Amino acid sequence: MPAAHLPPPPARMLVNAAEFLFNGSRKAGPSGKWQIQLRNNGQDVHDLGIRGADGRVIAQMGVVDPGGLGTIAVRLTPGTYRLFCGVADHEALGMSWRLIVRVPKVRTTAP
Amino acid sequence: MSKPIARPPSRVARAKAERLMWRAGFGAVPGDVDRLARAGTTAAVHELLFPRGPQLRKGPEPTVDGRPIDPVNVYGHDVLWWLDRMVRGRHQLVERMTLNWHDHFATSNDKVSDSKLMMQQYFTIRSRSLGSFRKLALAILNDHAMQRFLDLDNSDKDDPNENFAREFLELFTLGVNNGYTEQDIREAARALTGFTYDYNTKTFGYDPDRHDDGVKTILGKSGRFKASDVVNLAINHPKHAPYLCKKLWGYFTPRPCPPGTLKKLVAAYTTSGTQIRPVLQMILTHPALLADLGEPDQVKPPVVFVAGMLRKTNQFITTDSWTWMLDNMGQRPFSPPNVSGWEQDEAWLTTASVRARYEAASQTVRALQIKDGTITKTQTPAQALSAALRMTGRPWTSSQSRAALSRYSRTSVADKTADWQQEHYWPERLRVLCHMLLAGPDAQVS
Repeated sequence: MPAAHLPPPPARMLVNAAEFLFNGSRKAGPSGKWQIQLRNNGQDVHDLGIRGADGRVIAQMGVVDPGGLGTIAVRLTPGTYRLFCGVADHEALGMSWRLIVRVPKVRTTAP
Repeated sequence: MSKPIARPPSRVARAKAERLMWRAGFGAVPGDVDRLARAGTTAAVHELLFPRGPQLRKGPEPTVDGRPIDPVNVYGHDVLWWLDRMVRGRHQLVERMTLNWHDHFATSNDKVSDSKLMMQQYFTIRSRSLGSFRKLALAILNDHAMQRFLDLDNSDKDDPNENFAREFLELFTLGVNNGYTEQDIREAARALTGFTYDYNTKTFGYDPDRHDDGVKTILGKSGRFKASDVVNLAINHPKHAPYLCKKLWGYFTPRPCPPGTLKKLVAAYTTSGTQIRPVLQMILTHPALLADLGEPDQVKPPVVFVAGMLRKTNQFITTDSWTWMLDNMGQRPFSPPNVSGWEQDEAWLTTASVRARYEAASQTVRALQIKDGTITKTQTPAQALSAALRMTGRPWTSSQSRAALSRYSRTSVADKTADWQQEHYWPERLRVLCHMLLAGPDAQVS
């Protein structure tokens, strides 16, 4: 099917995890559907959770083995989120990433 | 006046052109073998060394499930991005040398963890792939993916990290235990201090206060050396040119480089001021490269095998399957197994990787859309083989393979006379012939 006839794709993001760092492929994006992947480049298991500005965890991926890949689909409203590893004290050791979600820009002219 | 019909090139001329395009590129696209065969080897090599025009040929941008790929934000799409450049690339030697230098200056995203930096490194290498090695090595020193990979970032004068210094001498310029000592590595590491990286802002920099500006002795020379001096000292070392020229030779032929030839390559390299192009010109026109056309002896690296298959069948990137298939074949671009790159030649062929190569060919044949019910019973065995050769870009085949394929073409449908059998087995014969031409023994080597 040509891309023009497909529903709009989710915003996508890849987070590379290793001891003890999260490296996100982007710092910001539009509100709406998101597909976030976690690639575990480390030697320990890791996880990806998403916490809103109010401290509430809105999604959790579950542990990803070393060398593994996890994917999470989530709808994000405008705001600031903290992506974090929920395994043991990994977040405190540095495994987190700040993501800013904004109202998407609306196209006002024909493409 | 009508255009005269060009005489078809000889079988030998075609075989030479095909060999050249596999070794110096990613296989020929339909029509290129005949064109280059008519032009002759010298002209074909010149075209490879001095490419002109757009970098990419016409063809659709890479997609997955009908959508454009997103190489920075989706795992594995970086591999598809690079594969597409091999498939659609018009400057084939430039693309192939970019892959070869990626093997030489092996950097893995498994540690760098940033596809954008890896893609930047691709362009850093590509734009210098046929030019001055000295400039390429200096660019690699300042490449952020490499700085992350070999811990050059944040190497401080109080605690110099030796990783980059060690690999630079051992793998990038001189060769293992070839003219340097552990003390040289320690001293070079001091000269390489001062690069910085801020994890929070993802910014790279250089802090003179973190650089060791004391006197160092490296490879017999003393001075207040800085990072770029390490590059120059190593490249000026007499052991460097033979090491690099021999390694370059090995990318194009598995045969040992004759001593006399190596001398000439070294002379071309040093008198040109470390230019890569004249060395490649000598290698690509050397008789060893085009010797024994009936007995190809270089195993195609997996990514060359896949890109070539797509080029020969005029297909483009429309699936992310290639990422895991290349993984299974043992070569995932942007993720070499370690800093010494991939093991080449027969190391590519294992039970598991050959099976993955067969799967890759199955995927390619599926995309040819030879559907049941589309071939009539009137198709002769010779016509079936001819159609398969046409659909797979007329790859080189040995006389033994040709005989085996002809035999299969004759016998596979001989007893399939019922209508329902004709519906399936006639197209199946064509599918199998295409598959064997793409993944049989001949297709694994060049």
